[in-house]
Amino acid sequence: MIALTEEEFDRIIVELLETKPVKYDALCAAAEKLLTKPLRRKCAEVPALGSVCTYEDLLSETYIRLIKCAIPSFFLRTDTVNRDREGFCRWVYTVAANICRDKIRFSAAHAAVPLEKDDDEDSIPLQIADPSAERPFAACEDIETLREAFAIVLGSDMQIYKVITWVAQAVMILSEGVSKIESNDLLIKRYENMTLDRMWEEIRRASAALPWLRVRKEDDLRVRKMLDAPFKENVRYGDMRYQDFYMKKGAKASISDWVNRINAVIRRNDAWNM
Amino acid sequence: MEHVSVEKIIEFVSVDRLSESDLALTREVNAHLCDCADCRRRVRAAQTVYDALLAECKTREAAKKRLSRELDETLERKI
Repeated sequence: MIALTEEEFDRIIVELLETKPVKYDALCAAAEKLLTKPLRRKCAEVPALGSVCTYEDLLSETYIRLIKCAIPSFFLRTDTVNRDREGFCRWVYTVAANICRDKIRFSAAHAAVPLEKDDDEDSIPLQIADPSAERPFAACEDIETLREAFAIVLGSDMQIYKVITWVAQAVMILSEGVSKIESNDLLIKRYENMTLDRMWEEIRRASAALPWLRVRKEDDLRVRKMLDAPFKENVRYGDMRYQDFYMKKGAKASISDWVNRINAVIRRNDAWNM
Repeated sequence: MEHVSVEKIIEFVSVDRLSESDLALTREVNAHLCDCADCRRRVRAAQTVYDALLAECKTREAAKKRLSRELDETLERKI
């Protein structure tokens, strides 16, 4: 993950909070440094995004957003100056990700092909990216909400194939900007012939594209322990293929069912409801 | 301390380009926000509402009009 140096970060604070008139050079330079590569890659890899804008468009929109929100929503969100350099980088990534997400939604809304109706009534909490429109804008809260959800899922006692399904779908939606419906098909296509061991490795690799998401060591160990558990005599869960767990109702319905059950676990969790 | 006017808040949260006048406005408002916690809260709230209205109204002008109405109604309720 690209990071800012201490000097670069300090310069942003000086220019925004101490210089009169306020300057944005350091802020925009930081955004350019952090986001050029990821936005370029995103535009190239996500047709729904690349078809409606260039990475320069996204960068410009991000500059505007940062100029409006850096002081009230990050540096002076409380009465003391927020000097969390890493947190700032994560926040910038989230701002850009939200802009990409909105562009993709715009692209989907204007697509010639009608969208499939999402018949999954229980939305993944991830889709509640802006939990309440009544709460003040806070990109950091979105990350914390998502982190909380991942922590709950990875620490749950649900069957490992359900846990891995939820994490795989979440990482796919967040890192590739696909919709939930698209992710169902992609999950099947990408993983159905993989063993759960290999699937977990792939998900870990894909999650590196989300700098704010850190799978804790204890959660990784916990998952590996569950993968080591015997499914049947001489066969571990990790050795089983993903499609071996599909129920009679088929792949899509199985995935939908598993994700809903995990969502129910999240909603029941005290930490989520605080 | 004199606070940022409602009109300036609406202009600020609805900035969508980096013209000279827009930049000048953001500098003025941001300079005030450095020292005023109340205005920071007002701007955060207004930004959230504006973003939601923009998604609904699709155009900047329509969203600004709706935001102006919302903020007027909020002020009336407080009086």
